[in-house]
Amino acid sequence: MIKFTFIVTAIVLYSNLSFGQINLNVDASVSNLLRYGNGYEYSGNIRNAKEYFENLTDARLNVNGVIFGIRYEVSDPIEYGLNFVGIRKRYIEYNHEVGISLRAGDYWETISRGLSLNVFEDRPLGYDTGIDGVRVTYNKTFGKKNPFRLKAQLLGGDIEYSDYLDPDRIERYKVRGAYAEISPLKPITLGLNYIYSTGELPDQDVLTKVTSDVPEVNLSYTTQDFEFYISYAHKSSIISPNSIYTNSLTGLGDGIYSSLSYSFGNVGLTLDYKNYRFDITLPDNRSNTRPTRMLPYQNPPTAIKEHTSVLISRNPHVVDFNDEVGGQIDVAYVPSDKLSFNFNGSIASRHYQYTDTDTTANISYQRTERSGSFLPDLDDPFSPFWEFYLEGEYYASEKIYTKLAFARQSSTLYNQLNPLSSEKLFTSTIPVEFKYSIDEDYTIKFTGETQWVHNSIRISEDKNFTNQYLALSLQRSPNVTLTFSSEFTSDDEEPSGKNSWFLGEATYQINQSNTVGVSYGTERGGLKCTNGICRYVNPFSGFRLSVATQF
Amino acid sequence: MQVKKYITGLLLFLSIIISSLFFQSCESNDSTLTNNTPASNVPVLQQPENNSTVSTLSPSFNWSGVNSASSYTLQVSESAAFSVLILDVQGITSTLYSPAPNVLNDSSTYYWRVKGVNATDSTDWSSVYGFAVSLESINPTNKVLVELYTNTSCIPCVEANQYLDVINNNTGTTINDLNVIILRVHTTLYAGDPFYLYNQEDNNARMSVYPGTPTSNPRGYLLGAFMSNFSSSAWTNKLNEKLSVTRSFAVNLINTYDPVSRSGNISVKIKQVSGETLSDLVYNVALSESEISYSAPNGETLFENTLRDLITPPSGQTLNISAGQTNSYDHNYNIPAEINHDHAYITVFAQRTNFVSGVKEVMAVERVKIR
Repeated sequence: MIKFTFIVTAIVLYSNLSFGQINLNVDASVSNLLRYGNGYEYSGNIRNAKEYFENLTDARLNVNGVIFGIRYEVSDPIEYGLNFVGIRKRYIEYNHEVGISLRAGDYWETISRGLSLNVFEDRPLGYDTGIDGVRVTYNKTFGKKNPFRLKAQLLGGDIEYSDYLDPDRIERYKVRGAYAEISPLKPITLGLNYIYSTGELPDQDVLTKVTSDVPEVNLSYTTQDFEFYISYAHKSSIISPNSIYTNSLTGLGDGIYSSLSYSFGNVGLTLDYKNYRFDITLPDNRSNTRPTRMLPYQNPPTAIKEHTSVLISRNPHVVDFNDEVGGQIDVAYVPSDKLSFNFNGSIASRHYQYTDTDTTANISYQRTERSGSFLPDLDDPFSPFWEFYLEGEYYASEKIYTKLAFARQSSTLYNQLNPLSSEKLFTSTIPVEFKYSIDEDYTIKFTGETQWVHNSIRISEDKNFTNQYLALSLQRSPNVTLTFSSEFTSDDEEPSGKNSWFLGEATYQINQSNTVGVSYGTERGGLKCTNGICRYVNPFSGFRLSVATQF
Repeated sequence: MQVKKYITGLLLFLSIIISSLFFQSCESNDSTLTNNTPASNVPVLQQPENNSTVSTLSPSFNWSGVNSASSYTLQVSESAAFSVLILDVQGITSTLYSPAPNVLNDSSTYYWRVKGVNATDSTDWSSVYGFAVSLESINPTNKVLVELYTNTSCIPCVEANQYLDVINNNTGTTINDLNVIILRVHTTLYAGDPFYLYNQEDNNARMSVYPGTPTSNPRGYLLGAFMSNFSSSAWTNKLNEKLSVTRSFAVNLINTYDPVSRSGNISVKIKQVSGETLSDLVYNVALSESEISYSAPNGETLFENTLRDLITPPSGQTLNISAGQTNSYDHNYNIPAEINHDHAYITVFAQRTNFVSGVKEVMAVERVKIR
């Protein structure tokens, strides 16, 4: 692939520079991010020394419209994943005014809403499904009075996906894709995508080979205040037999996502619906390393709210794209310039319940069919989740801003073998935010959150406990922010054994190009999710430093 | 007009959702973990295998069950004609029997057979298997060690525990359930696990062998290799693959135990049969307990193969050995009063301490019942 990249690079350069008089127009930019941490990480109550040093330098050079990009990375030791020193990313990109865009090297891409392809990087989670290959895009609008828009894209390349639970385990995929999107009338857009991939999933010395097809069709209808979108993707994965999967296995699955949003007056409404069935299987065969599961390069919308509140996001709902149905409603109401409200309600569950039909010690699960499997079910065997969130923001004056919210979450993790011992988690959270501008330079912000939790699998008789989060922040415009935050819990069964955490943070923007951030203290850790990708972040105590530089 | 447009859009959206009612999704579904032993009208002998050599005076006799039998009769003789019986045990209600250590003799050859019995009739005798007893023999086996990291508040652990319980009960889930030696390590995933709290030092030591085990359960390790997240069909195939391979090391155990003083001695012999000399080997002597009753938050009530103590140091005992060499070790131990010595086992396994291709390989494993 590297060789191919260089060939493409040479062709592009030649074609761009060899015609007409050479008139170099050069534009360069460099950004650098240094991250350093030193302290202790807690795994359960085991304390391990933790130190990381990461330096990411992204350079971008634009020569007459040909863009060269490179990322040099020193991650030794890395915070999450495998140590790396060297060139992590490199690409060359060319955009022509006729609407053609060519990129060779590393890139990320999202096709429509991501049901068939959505590869991205999330550095804080140590997650990267970027493609190393080639992407050609043609995007053109014809006509002005009745414009006809066409977008076509071909892409191919390799993905190396490192399992965050087991970073040494790297799944390798070769991906080929073709996408076409047409807009014959201004409000209507129809997209067709096809992804073909071959993958190798390692399991010690055994490789499981997976051949997959993922076609997708999507349709959107958009006007000034109304938008409707629907997408359907089908996945077919064929597993070649090996010592782990002794028979050839074909995993079929699909997913629907639909969204409707419209606004009238000072109200905005959004409805999301998801029905993901990419790998529905029996309870004792569910695994996030199953070769027939949804592919790592797929990442559909989660259709749940992503919160900024520390405590609400402490117990995120982990979307199971292989078996989940549900949706959300989001309403924004802005009665005045100073006052706004947001309501969000979401619901999700598995599609089916299962029963053990074997009367001996063995287990033989059988699915209970239901006609309403296109809707979520709140009965415990479906491991349901629901959430209710209401938020109000009020600008009392130019100096005073307040926010008050209430969230109620309920999630059940069904215990198939011991149903009465299913894990039920109920939380009620009230976040409050108050910001006061003392003068033109200084602003003080207070954030307070209180959460009441009921957890059914706590050992002690008292299964209720509370969490509190308090943060006080002083900002000196435009370049200094000091924050002191603390968190408390009355949970006697907190895995780390602690019941309080304190953290001091300072951010200083030295100039337009350089920003330094330092923190010292203890961090509670926990499950953290972005776009449905979740990882457990261990509690940490110690010192962190980040320096961001932009030239 | 605007309102009409909105209503039209809303109806369109709802119609799409409702159309899902008629949408026939195609999806995958796997076979279950059930793997029943075929029915037979006479018991089929399993262990000791025919013409095998055992290195214990108390081998486990095991056979496949017969549906019509309510109990079994086991006979052991020094002659293939069963003219003189060393053992004639009637009324065995399981398909497993271990004789007392004073019945069989070292350096002897025996034959054994089984028949099923019910209230009115009995089956024919099974075929006859012969085996030799040689305490000096140290032969590599196909036995595998499965370490399961679990927690009494962990809901997803229940499926994995149940799966291993089924194997532990010798139901024929794998090609040889008896050769699957299970050790369950309880973790810090949720606070308050009594089996973790019973011996934090040794549970911590085993957790530190494999990163991720304190915060992600269940996690299974087969001969030191992560088994991937629990999936009964995938785990069965992985077990079968390893069960069909003979280890390159062998472990022989001779246990003596005084139930009055609740103390004993385990004599360990470890032989490297083949392969290069490894500089990062340790061996571990682990005490485990089964049939522990406890009403756990995750609904489990019976706990098998639970790690109770590492008789060797928590990080293992250094093992310097090379191909063709046999090392002998002795370890004295005591069984605390809170452990039921009738359900206690000693498991010995040799393991590498460095990861090679992501694996801290367990070279061999053997297990013996305390009494």
